[in-house]
Amino acid sequence: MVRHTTKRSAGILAVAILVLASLFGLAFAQGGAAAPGTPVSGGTLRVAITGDPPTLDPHTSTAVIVLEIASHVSEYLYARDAGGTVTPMLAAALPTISADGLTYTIPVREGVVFHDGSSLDAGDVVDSLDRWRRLGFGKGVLAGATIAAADDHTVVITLPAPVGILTGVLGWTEGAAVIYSSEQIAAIGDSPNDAPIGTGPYRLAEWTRGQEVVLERFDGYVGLTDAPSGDAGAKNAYLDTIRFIAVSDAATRQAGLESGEYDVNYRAAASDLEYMNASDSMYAWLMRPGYNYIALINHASPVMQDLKLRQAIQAAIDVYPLMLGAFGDDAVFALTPTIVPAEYGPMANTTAGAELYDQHDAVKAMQLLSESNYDGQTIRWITSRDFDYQYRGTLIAVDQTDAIGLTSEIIVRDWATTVATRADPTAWDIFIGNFTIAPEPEMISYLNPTYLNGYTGSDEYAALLAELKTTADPDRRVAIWSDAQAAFYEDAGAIQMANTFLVNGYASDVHVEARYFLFQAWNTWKE
Amino acid sequence: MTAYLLRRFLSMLATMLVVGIVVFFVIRSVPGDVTSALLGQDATPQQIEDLRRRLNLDQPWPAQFAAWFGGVVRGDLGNSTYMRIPVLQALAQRLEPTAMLALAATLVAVTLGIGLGVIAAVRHGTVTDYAVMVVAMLGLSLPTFWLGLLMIMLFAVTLQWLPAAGYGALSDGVGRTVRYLVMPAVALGFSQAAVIARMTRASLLDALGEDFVRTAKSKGLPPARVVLRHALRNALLPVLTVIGLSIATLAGGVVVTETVFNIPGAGRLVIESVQRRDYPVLQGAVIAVAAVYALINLLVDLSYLALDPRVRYS
Repeated sequence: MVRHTTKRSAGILAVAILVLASLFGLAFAQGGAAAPGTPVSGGTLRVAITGDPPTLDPHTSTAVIVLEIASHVSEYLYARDAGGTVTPMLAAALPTISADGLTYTIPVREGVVFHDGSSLDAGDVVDSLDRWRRLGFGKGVLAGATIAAADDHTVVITLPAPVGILTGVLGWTEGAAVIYSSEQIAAIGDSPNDAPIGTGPYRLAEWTRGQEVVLERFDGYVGLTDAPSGDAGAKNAYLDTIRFIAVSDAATRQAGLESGEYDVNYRAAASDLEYMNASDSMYAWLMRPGYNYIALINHASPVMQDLKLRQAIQAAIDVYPLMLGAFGDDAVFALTPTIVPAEYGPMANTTAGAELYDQHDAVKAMQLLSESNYDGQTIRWITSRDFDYQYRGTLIAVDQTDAIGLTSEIIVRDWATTVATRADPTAWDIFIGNFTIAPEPEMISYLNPTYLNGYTGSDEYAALLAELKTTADPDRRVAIWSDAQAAFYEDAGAIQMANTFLVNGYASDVHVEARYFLFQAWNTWKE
Repeated sequence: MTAYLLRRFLSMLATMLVVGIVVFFVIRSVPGDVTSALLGQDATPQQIEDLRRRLNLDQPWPAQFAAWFGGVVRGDLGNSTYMRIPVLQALAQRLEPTAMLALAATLVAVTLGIGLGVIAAVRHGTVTDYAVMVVAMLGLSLPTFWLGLLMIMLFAVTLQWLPAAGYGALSDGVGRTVRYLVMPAVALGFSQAAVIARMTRASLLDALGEDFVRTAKSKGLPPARVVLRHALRNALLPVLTVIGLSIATLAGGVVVTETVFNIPGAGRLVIESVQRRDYPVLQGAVIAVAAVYALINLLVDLSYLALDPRVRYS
């Protein structure tokens, strides 16, 4: 009996090994990535995203995930190509700007239709920009402006004072000035638009809250015919359907990509980068520039108003080990002193103030500290373990600054509490994390006095920023910002560390014609 | 009996009310609100203030409580501030996946637990008994999320037998639902199976030593009948209590399991609502969980009636 059982067990084991071996073989056989060929239409792209977006309305939210989904549905007047140049999208041409810089005349493309079949006209643009001004980023650039339709396809914006970045902002993604129809705006008012009717290559088919957003190709899409480049040019909707599936756990997103459950792991972990690149069945794509990783200084906190103390911290920070410790792989960040990244065009500057970047000079730091009024007060670093790179970066920064004689306290909270605490100017001193970057300094939150860290800057910096805000001439803007960036470094307004990239994982059978720094599924096809 | 049921029902209502009031004030005492999740990180303090005003979050707590409680009395739990849909709708959407997962996990836990417990008791002192108890210990020790991730790596990624994550609605076919539920149900049910197995073994061992079992054996009844019909039935009362507690414990495990396997259930909704500070959903969900707990307790108490004729409620 024992022998019989043993024989039977051995037989089962052998069969199991054979089955497993054949399955492994099959898996490896399926793993080979075919060479990208001619785009084909059809299919569904399953994108595992980090969570349910709060809305699909960029007018009411600056969250990146909102724009990354909504940009398939809704479009804006201008867009940036891969080189950062602003080009027309729903506008027919760049605006004509009056000599005094106060009047912008924008021609609107004819023949464009919304997903409900109605045609785009100047009235839709006027109402959309007005709503964007009421609710979103437009509040800063269109305050006091008159927005009117000169005719069916011409919009005229009259500003009370020149705005240096108006065209650029109208083509920017975060908190984008998307265009809705007047009818829809009348219907939704100021409530977030959870069922946008746009002009984009995909229309919203279904949104099951907390689960998935489903987009379908809009067959009536009237797009541009220029070659795709960055956010600009033709948007070829090869895919029939795009499903944005909320998958909050990073390990589950990655496992789903590996098992074929998903086609895209939106925001893969940096630790999976090497593994994905070594695989035949998937590949990683670094979306750069992603964010600026900085130490945000709370200028409303009395202790941080001491310039010498800020400069001491700036001098003490050794960026590379901090970044490596925070992110674990130096492929996902790039050390750079430029606050506006090179990928965004001419405002990038790698020299102004660069001598104060990444000094890791403890002797100088201690000297500066001794010249400051610092007398042992506790520096409160606020951070959250919900984002490990924040927490780890903070630990290392505290280690580096304690070495020059600072006394620190690390306040660790969940993310929602961290955000709330950060909004209280009395509750923290320094926060380390990723911040959104943009082509123009006025669009980078922490460089402006309206942000929560209360940074108004030195007199020199404030004057330069004020001049920049009213200057539209590109060359002059570059010159002003060069001086302003140097003044920002001199003032230790924040501590610049690096650009950090976002990692998206793709199945090998997914091909993308042109990429932007944000996720896009147009110009994308599946074999 | 009717009076007893009425009393229990009223006490359930009182429990839910107290839970609702406590959770209302506790979650508001934690810093943060939904505006950060809605507006994104780059929102200015002015935008945050405007939104807080629109959502009435700038109102004093008593005013917010009065508005919420007035709705609850009318059966309206309010609207989700993040999703902008009624809380009841949000909960209803998430009910099926959670109910199916809890049911499947309970099935795994009870079947596996009682089965292993009976085997261990019948083979008391043998290698089989020790092996079963080792498995039970393993089940108690393995964290659900770790077991879940291991199963995903083996059965979804490597073997590709089962889907890695997600949920198949019943409306899409029972077979699809089962395929999606196998791994999470086993991951979730395994630890509770271990608890039930240990209790079944201990309780059955006691019962097997009783006089009535000896009598049954001496009557010449087949051993299986003696164990399953006579001993097990008498051993089940304490096991039933443990099963009731296990189901309640599963409710906690559901949160983790739904996150690991990306099941769009009520557990994940609670986690998401905490992270977003979506107060109305959180309040509604906690009240619903309290109701489920109270209901399970009631059902366990009532099931004693079926198992033990001596039990009477008045």
